[in-house]
Amino acid sequence: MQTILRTRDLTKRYGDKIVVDNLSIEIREGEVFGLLGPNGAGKSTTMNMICGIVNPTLGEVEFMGKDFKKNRKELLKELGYIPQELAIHGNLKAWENVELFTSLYGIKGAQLKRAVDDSLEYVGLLDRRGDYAKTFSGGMKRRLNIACAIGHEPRLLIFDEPTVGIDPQSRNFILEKIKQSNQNGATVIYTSHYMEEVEAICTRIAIMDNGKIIATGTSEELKKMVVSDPETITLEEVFLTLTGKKLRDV
Amino acid sequence: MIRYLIKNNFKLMSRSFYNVLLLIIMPLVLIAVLSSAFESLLAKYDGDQQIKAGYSAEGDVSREIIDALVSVAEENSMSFTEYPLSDPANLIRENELSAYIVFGNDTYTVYRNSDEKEAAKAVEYMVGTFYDTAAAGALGVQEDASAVTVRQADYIEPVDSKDYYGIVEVIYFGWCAIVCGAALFMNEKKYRIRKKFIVSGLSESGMYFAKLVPIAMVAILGSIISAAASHILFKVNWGDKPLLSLVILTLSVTAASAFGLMIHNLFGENVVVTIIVVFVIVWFNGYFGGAFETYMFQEGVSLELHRLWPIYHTNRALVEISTTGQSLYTGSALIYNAALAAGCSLVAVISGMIRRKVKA
Repeated sequence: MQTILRTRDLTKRYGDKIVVDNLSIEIREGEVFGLLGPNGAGKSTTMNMICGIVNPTLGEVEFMGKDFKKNRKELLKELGYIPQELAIHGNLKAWENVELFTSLYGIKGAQLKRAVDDSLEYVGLLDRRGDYAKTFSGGMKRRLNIACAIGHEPRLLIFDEPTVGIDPQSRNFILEKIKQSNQNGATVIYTSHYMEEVEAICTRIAIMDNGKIIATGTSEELKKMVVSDPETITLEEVFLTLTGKKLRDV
Repeated sequence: MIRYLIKNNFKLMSRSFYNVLLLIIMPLVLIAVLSSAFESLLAKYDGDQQIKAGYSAEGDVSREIIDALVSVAEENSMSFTEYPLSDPANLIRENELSAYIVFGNDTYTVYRNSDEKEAAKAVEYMVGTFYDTAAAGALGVQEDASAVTVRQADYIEPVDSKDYYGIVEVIYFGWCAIVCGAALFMNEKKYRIRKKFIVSGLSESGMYFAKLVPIAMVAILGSIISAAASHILFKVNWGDKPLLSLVILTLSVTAASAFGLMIHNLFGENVVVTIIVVFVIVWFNGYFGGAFETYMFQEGVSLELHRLWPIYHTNRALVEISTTGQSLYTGSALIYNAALAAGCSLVAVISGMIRRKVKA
């Protein structure tokens, strides 16, 4: 598989504090890459640097073979970011929210209308397109949040804890849709605290702590790092073994 | 493609009931209250009552200019009588004058009768306006007076309190335009929508204009509805040049929106601080611009201080257009507001770019 995203020695310092420390990762095209880590591990900062929200102190990001910094505007069109926060307007209808965010990528007219309907249908909200987002349940808002980020059909989707605080049905629906997006050709980066989710959908997982990647591999490979028989251990136990049980208050 | 962003931001703002309340209903309430409270003050100015004033000339004052001034005063229900230079207090008392003016070479001094403050201020205002006009050369009155040509003009047609406050309150609340964006700002901040804008590659100027345009549009629409309602409900006279008045009002609201957004950007997009800072500055703007106390009768405020504030130019332009169909302040109102809108936009975009860089 070809590399779609590569970071080289990515570092972010805030004063004396090193949040991300010489991070070098490769995401291959077509994979679902899971990024796990305790609070304060540097996951969000890494995501923010990949998305261009935060500039790295050192290092570089290469996306689709091009330097991200130099080709930012062009490359951002191929990137879909689903933030942990519900980045939607309650006083806008579902279709208006999707239209607003999809249009930012230069899509207009009939193509935009089609993209809006396709996105809403994809997340199962087409029949509620005319309803205000504020009338939606938590799960529906999460789905709408996703619809707002996929209308421009990006090649790389970044999900930052997209299932926080929703019911099992909605969570299952979202995970199914992430798998479907991946089957349709999108590469996915997925961060979450829910180990079973990561295990269920990710083809490769990286565990991050103190700004560094401490382990990378498939779920099975990670388990084998801790015990010889992967059947005897859960991913959560692997995570706790590698990152420790000390509370991480940030 | 900020067209859709502007469209949806406009929808967001226009769906907020509070905007409608502030921009449409509040001016109407203030028009009713203030026009009633100041009815007697401005009634003195309605032309039914003749104001008596005296004057003396010292030095080489141009007679043509004085004659022109006396003529204009007569057209504004003021009778000016010349007296030999004397003690102002005695002259005022003995001749029951509202005011007494001593014209010098380059200056004039107005002595006011403390028992007839309003009438005296009307005289002062008329003389001040006359000299402004003369200095501007708009009427062809030249300072050296070697070849004086004078065309008459009505400087201060009677404006009643209802018309005055009807106009200035709509302008004043137009300056509160930033409130229209409050719900949008809070939502954008709460849900970190700015982050998504950055990820989409939207530029700082794109973000800025996607807010400025809808805020100004909602505020202009609210101001127009309020102006129309003031005309229908209170018979406020906006004059016979609605297009010109509309252009000035539109520019004023646009400047106000740009100013509010600049403050919003300068204060780190903190909505509460923005509203407080904007409202304090707008209050001073209104205070010195004549939104509460009429600019012509305001005590202790020099013309220079009045002119510092953009709302003064807008108020004077629209009030004078409503009464005389023209105003010397039309140009300054247009230029001041346009420059303010452009300047504030520039500062807002640059400060946004700096903040983005610092935060990244």
